[in-house]
Amino acid sequence: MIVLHYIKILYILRLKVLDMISIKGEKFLKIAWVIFFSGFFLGYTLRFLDVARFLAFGFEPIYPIHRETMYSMKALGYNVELEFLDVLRANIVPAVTTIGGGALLGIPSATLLFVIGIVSGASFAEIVEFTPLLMNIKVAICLAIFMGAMVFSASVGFQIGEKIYNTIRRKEIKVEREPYDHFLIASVLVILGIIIQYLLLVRA
Amino acid sequence: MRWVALLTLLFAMSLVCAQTEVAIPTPPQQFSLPANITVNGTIDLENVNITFVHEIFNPYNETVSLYMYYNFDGKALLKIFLDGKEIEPEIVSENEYYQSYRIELNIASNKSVEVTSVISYPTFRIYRGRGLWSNTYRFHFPIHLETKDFRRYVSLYGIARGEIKIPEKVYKVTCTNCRYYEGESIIRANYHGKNPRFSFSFKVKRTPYKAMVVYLLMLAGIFSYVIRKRAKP
Repeated sequence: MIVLHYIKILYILRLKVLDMISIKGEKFLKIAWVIFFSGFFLGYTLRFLDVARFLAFGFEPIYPIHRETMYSMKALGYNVELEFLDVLRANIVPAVTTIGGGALLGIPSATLLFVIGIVSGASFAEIVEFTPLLMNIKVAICLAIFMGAMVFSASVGFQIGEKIYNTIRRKEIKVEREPYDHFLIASVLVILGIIIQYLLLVRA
Repeated sequence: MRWVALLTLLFAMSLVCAQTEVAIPTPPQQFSLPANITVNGTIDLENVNITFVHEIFNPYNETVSLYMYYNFDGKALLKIFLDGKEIEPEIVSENEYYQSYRIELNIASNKSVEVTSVISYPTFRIYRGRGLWSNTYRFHFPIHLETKDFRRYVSLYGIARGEIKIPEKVYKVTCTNCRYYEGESIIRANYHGKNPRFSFSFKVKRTPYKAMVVYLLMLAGIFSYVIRKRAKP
């Protein structure tokens, strides 16, 4: 009975939080998810079929999880020591760049989100196949948090772009609550992602 | 006029003296040694076990001092026998990703030495761009010679022969200075000439089961979403 009571409280809390942060029906969030998942599926397909074998490399400044995983697995060529500052840098840069890209009507935000999607998809295929199950689970957790952070960051970027566009067109500024909520969620997810990646992949 | 001629003569002489003072030193001589190299071993999907036998002859009138270097990407087990006696190699560089060892050889004039190197190391490691549907393995000689002074590469000339057993179901076998016998799954080499060595590569097919499961789950999700949305547009 107590367990059922707690489950009921959690469910009500979840509904209140969702209502508070207005996730449901948010069009920019849906657009961001579609862009990211399209890139993710494309990257995964290209890597899975061995069409493009080096997609995950060279994008460390915007996608840290691949390098952290290879470092954790002591993979050949990844013998540079990783520190907390590297994890911090590689998580904050894509989030800030995605949000800041909204200043150019959201086009750089969309582009960067798509590229991050491709890189993360290609990386995930390689990691799933060549690492043990425990590492797969760790990477899946880190990736889910990183994915959420990027999608919410892109949503903020799109909303900034929309506001700038409306300002240019109608010469008025009207900002609702959603961009602030998504900005806060993105910040929380970025911080959480940094901590989880450092604990699970770098320090482990 | 006389003064002009004298000054010109002095100037020309100073140029000649300046040139003779700046003498270019003679570079050290390059040399090569005759050698017979025999390679035998097996390569399977987990380990490489190879034995190299270097018979190196010194045809010169003075003792030749060399280093024989062994370089590996990753952890390797190494046993070296110089003229039948086991010797401990000197560690040049060692970490989890790269190992380099060397031994010193002093070959007297018109004498030869025999170096037997028994090497074992893992076949595959995670590396950049590894294929999901095939594993590529590349074999090359991990041993080279350098002089003790000036660290110059010492070239060999002679024979490199050997027989290496490779896994059975391989494809895209490429050989340099060797030949692949498909029926026996053996690489045989019998190369005569300068810089006697051989190298080869091959691929072994694999099926990426784990990545396939995730891919099929994603496809199933996409198709079920499409079918549901199609039913209720």
